[in-house]
Amino acid sequence: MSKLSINKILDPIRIDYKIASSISFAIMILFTFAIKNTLLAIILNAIALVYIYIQNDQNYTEKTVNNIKLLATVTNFLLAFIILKDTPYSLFMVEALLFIVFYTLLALSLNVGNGLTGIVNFGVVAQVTVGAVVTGLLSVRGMPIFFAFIWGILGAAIFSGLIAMTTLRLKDDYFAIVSITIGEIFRQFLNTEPSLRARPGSNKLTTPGILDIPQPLAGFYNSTLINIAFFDWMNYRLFLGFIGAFIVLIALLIVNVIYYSPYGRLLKSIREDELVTNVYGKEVFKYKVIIMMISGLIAGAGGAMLAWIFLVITPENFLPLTTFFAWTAFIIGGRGNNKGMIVGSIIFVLLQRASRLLDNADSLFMRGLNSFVKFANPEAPSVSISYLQLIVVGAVLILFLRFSPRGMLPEEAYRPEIRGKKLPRAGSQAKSVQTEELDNNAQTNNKGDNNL
Amino acid sequence: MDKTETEMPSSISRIIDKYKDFIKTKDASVIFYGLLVFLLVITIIGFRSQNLTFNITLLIFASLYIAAIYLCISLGLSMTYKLLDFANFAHAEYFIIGAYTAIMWNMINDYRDPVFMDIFIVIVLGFIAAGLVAILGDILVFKPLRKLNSSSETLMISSIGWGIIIRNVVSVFFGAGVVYFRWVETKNIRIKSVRVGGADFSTSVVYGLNVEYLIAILVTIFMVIALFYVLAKTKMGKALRATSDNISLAESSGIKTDRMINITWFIGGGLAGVSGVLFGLSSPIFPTSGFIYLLPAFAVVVLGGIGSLKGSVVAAVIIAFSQNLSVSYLSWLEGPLDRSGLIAYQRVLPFVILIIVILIKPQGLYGGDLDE
Amino acid sequence: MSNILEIKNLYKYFGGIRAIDNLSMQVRENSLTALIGPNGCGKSTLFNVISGVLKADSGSIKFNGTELIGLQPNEINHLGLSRTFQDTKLFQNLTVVENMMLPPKHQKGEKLINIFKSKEKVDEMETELLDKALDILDLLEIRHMGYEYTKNLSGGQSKLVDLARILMSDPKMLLLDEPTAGVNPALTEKLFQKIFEMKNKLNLTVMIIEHDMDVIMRDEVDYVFVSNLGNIVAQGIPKEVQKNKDVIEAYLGK
Ligand SMILES: Nc1ncnc2c1ncn2[C@@H]1O[C@H](COP(=O)(O)OP(=O)(O)O)[C@@H](O)[C@H]1O
Ligand SMILES: [Mg+2]
Repeated sequence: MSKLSINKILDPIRIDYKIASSISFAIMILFTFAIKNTLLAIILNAIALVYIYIQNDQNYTEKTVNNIKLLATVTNFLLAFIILKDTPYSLFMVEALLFIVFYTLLALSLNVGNGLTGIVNFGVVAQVTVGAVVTGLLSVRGMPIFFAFIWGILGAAIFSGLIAMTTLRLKDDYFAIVSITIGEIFRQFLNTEPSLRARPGSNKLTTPGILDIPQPLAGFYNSTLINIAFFDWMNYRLFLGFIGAFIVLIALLIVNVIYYSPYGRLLKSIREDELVTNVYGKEVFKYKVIIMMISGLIAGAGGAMLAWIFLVITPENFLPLTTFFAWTAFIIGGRGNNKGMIVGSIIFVLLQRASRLLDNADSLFMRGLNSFVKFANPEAPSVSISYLQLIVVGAVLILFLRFSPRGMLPEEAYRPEIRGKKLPRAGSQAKSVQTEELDNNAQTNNKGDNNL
Repeated sequence: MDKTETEMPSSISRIIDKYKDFIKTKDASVIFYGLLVFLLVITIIGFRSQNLTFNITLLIFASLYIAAIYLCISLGLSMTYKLLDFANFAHAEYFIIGAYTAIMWNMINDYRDPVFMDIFIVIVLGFIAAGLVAILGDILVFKPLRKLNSSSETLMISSIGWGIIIRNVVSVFFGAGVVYFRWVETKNIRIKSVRVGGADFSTSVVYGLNVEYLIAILVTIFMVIALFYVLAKTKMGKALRATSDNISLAESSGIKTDRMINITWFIGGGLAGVSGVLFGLSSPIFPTSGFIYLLPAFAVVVLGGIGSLKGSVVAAVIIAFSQNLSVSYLSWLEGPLDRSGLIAYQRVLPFVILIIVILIKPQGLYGGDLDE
Repeated sequence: MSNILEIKNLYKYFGGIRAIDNLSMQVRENSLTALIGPNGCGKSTLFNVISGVLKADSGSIKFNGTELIGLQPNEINHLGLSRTFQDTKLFQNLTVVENMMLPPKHQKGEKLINIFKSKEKVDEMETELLDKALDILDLLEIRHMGYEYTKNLSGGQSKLVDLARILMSDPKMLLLDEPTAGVNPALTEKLFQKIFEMKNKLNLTVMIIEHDMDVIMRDEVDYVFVSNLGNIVAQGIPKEVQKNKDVIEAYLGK
């Protein structure tokens, strides 16, 4: 039996891409660490990427183009990271990295649930809440962080599974409403239940929240890494970003295996048409429950990440807005494309946070805006940049849905390729004479009574 | 035939089906009556402990007030939901458009003292402003997506985005803090009431009824009657109903459906705007106060049955009353359960009702047409 | 020959509409049966009830002796009963081959654990399935469309792919709901030929819904049911039915 992957390696287009990406990374590493001229590196890298883009791009498969886009976005983010490392903006970049990790996890969770299976989950924040609260509570009460994390993601998965079992039979919009509602109920629990308030060594808090949540590997970092010269440019938050990136990587690997497997194909059919999938012998409901659990697992990891980022979690961390942000990153990235979730999160987080760099009351823009607002409403307080951020995010989401619903990195076809059995690529069909003749008059398409 | 090929029992679906059938059919009533008995027992225990009390008049008026606010928001939500077949998560933002229109009226008339009549001007202005914003939303966001044949899922997501835009544009101009509508000083109307429960079981007390509550209730009743009249008796109302029932059929029978869609948005958004005005009469307003009412509004729409205005009226009253009743129970239960802050859960009650209704009777009380 | 499908006293109302009204019928094994009747007389509803998409109000449907009422659509499919839909419901954003690789039963890759643990076996099975899909595409002479997204196909091509997809699950019996609706006459003929060919080659029982009479003029059709207002008004071999007064009334009377 031939293995499915052989041709992937032999495919000349992919070799091309592999060489290009290696060169790009090599340039990056070389210039950053050896020559220490990152600006030059970023320019050269950009040239390399543009070259890849331009070079007879009709020969590239969608997958290759997507890979290049991913590479371009990630390397340039990393380069910017390195360039800004010794400037006042380095803090901004580190925080951005942390939130990119967080939203990548959430978007990935959505990508499994919605991008792959078509479940309209507006309750991402509920899954995040479970992950964050369980991880936070257990570790605050003294459980080792790793086990608290495991319980956190398992808790989120089990919770998602239970919700799915009871409500996934509903119409899409009902499920959306129910899932957003459950998030709000959880937030109320967090607000009211004394048992959900804690800090190390004390369970009697008068205000809601879990405080002083221990962070993973903090002791290890402080005792060991901080003393190693190589890591002198690192601080703990950056280190936490790497831990998060590692979690993302694992999640990505798992989801990728599901995506490009017969299992993923089955889930896609559910997304396309639940009824037909059911009629063709698949127990749709079971798969949807399992997938909700997996999405809970990933969003729960995002929740744990959130707990570690903030160290303190309060009900305000779990507003429905988080769900909306996750959807935005997901839509920008390209529903149905795992790599897209990274790109989508990078773009979303930079979009949302970059305006913070403009948050300077003296800037021309802000002065202009403020005087305009004062003109309309003399009693208005000065405009906070966070409103503008949200307006921009809302607008970008709507624009994407309208003009680019497939997102930055569109979904790629799953094409099992077997040696000696190569078929023409999707989209490049050369119609044979025979079908053309058959279909000449068949353009009416099927307009039968669609009463099913 | 080969039996080995017939295995694969769909165990989970089977169990769930059984459980759903159980709820849906005869045994649903068992659960319902079980719940009633449970409530009764709790109530008796509460009365015997002398700590569970209800102020009857307060209960009635406070509930009607909440019902009025819920109802004004949900009527439009229900109409657009039925007509365009998607849940508009931005609908509650039209509420704050109304509320802030009232604030703007305050600002424009800064130079003089408010007069009683202001309220009616503000109601009309709030209706128009919110209605126009609703139409704007359709033009900017929903109509282009409908043209692309987007799924209801896409429309729902974009409606969240649109809601966030509205909320934050309002924040830009008014800040995120609370603002108050300035209006004439009103005195509470003192009426007799009975307090049930406590040591004497029934005590007559005096209850000060907020004039603003009364106005909100009366205005809502007026608007609901007007809406029902328009829908039932006028030519436009009939066209609206026909469009809502079946857009393509209405289109083919010569109704200008695009116009009907705009009118529906205008009326629906406008009603939400009025509820914002009415709410602002007695409560502080802030940009997220609309979102707070979104999920209760969904609860009303779903319990009433999507598209059924009569259902919405009934559902708003049911939800408002149960929410207010729950306040009494929760504040009593804080004692025996040795807990404080239980009362906050009254906010959750509509959510719980929403979920239960969706699970047990997704078509709602009056699942059906606009003309019911 | 024995009966593969036996329906007794089947009812299905939609509110006031009597879509199926005390319907009984038997379909013989390895036959090619046609169910004809005017539009809206409940033919598609019958398929929906048989395949478990809709719940019957009452009655009994036995397939190879197994009662179908109360079974889930997936269970009915696993018994070897496969159907198509009148409005060809292909998975629009999947390629033809992907569409076809869904229906086969007992796939290794249907279990989450397998795609992580026994990837080799899953791949092996995928290869077999792909081979099989390509063979069927060859049979229907549409192999060149293999990796085309089905949303790019024309109506006629879609119908062929639909047929190809339904054959992938090794069914014993096919229920084809207007397999030639919206297809031009030249292709209609071709499609029928393909269906007959498949039936003989794979030893299938086939039941076809058509709403015009032409189909009963065909030699290949073994048996015809004529349906009207949710009931069978006539049945028999094509030659008999053609002469039947009720049939002529049902068709010419309207
Ligand atoms: N899901 C449904 N809900 C309500 N009425 C239906 C439904 N499906 C079919 N009908 C009605 O049942 C009747 C029979 O429809 P159908 O079985 O599709 O007819 P045919 O396939 O013979 O043309 C029609 O009047 C149709 O309107
Ligand atoms: Mg039909």
